[in-house]
Amino acid sequence: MSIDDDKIDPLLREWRKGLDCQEEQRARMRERVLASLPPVKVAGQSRTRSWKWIAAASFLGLSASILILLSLYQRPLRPIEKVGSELTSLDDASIPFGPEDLVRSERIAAEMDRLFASRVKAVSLIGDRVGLHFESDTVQDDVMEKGPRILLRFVLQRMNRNASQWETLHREEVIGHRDHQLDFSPSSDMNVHYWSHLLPDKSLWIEVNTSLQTKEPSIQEIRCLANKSYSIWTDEGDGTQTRLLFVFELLDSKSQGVI
Amino acid sequence: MTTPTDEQLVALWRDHGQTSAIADLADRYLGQFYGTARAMLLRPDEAEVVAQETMLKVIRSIGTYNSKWPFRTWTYTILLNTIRTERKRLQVHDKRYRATVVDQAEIEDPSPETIPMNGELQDCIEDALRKLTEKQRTAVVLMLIEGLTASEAAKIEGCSVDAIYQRVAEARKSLRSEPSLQQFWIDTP
Repeated sequence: MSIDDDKIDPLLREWRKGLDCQEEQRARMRERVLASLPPVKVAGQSRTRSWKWIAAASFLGLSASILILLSLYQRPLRPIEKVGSELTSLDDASIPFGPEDLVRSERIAAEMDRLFASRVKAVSLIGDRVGLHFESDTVQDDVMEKGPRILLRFVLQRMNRNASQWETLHREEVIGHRDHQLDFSPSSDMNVHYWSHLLPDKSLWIEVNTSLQTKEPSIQEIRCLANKSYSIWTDEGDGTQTRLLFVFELLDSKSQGVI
Repeated sequence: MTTPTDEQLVALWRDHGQTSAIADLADRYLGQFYGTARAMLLRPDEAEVVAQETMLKVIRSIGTYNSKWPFRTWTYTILLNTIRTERKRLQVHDKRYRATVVDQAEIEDPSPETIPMNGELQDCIEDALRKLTEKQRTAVVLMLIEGLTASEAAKIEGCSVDAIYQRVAEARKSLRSEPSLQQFWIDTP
């Protein structure tokens, strides 16, 4: 049956009219919005500084900050091989964050926020490599609810049938925000899509979609407590077990001040 | 006295701190945000939250608003971003609490504050829209329902104008072949 598009569009518009809110509802929303207005900073104050100026200042500080970050990061981090050789179980104390991890990450987060006026969406730490992910100039990122910084750690491990210890293949840390989405590949044939939302009780609701080239994707949804290790993906084949572990911790970047 | 444009109201708030400017913007946009959020989410219970949250995000980030963008296009970008986040939250929530949500849906009436259309037709349209992909539904809502131009929709979605037209065409094709809507095609003069 052939239908003219002229019939579809009016029908949709008619349907849309039924979705309008009533005046009372609009007034209620308006009242709530006005009650939540932030304090006003008028022209001439910091609000009016253009992003161009901040970008220029940030550019000048970029080289120095990277050097600072690298030196900071390299100092307290243990080599990945060493971490791997220490692991025996999920309860192993080396998977959750230690005090030095938190201090280091809080300093990095505080310095990034100071240098780039909170324009750094995430900082990824893989081995000795530090990656800065800037928010784009589009409003889509400008308006993301940020909330507290969150430190995430993903550890991919493997254990052969006759082995007694897990071997760490990949470890990645990310300093992100309350609501965070992340795509990464801990191995060449593995892709992970991660999404999280911080709940009011400070637990983290995560959804992890893990896919291998040769297998069906696996989706895990877990409510995680801070600094507790969780196995978010496992696989077994050819006498080898593989697992992806996850742990998170809240950061308080303001408490660390400026480096 | 002429009515100030959106951009003039933004300047009044940003540069002079006039709260009445924000009140005027809220009057203009809250209803639109609510309707679009309902059309996109097909969940009346969440639309009010999304509309309010979007308005607050608009206000909070107004310092970064670049006046080279039309204000409406800018706000719709924020709105769609908020809707996506909400949809993601709902997907996770629904998967986890599917039974509870279904039970609630059975006992709750549709939002009592909305104007009812023919109930059967409304259900059929919403079912048909649910079957569209997210991109198709977004294109349909922005262009066919909210009346944005293809260029505005493309800017908001971060894609080409051709892609928007293609999504609308695919969506129309899907709606035309939707069995539950066939009876209404015949009835409509």
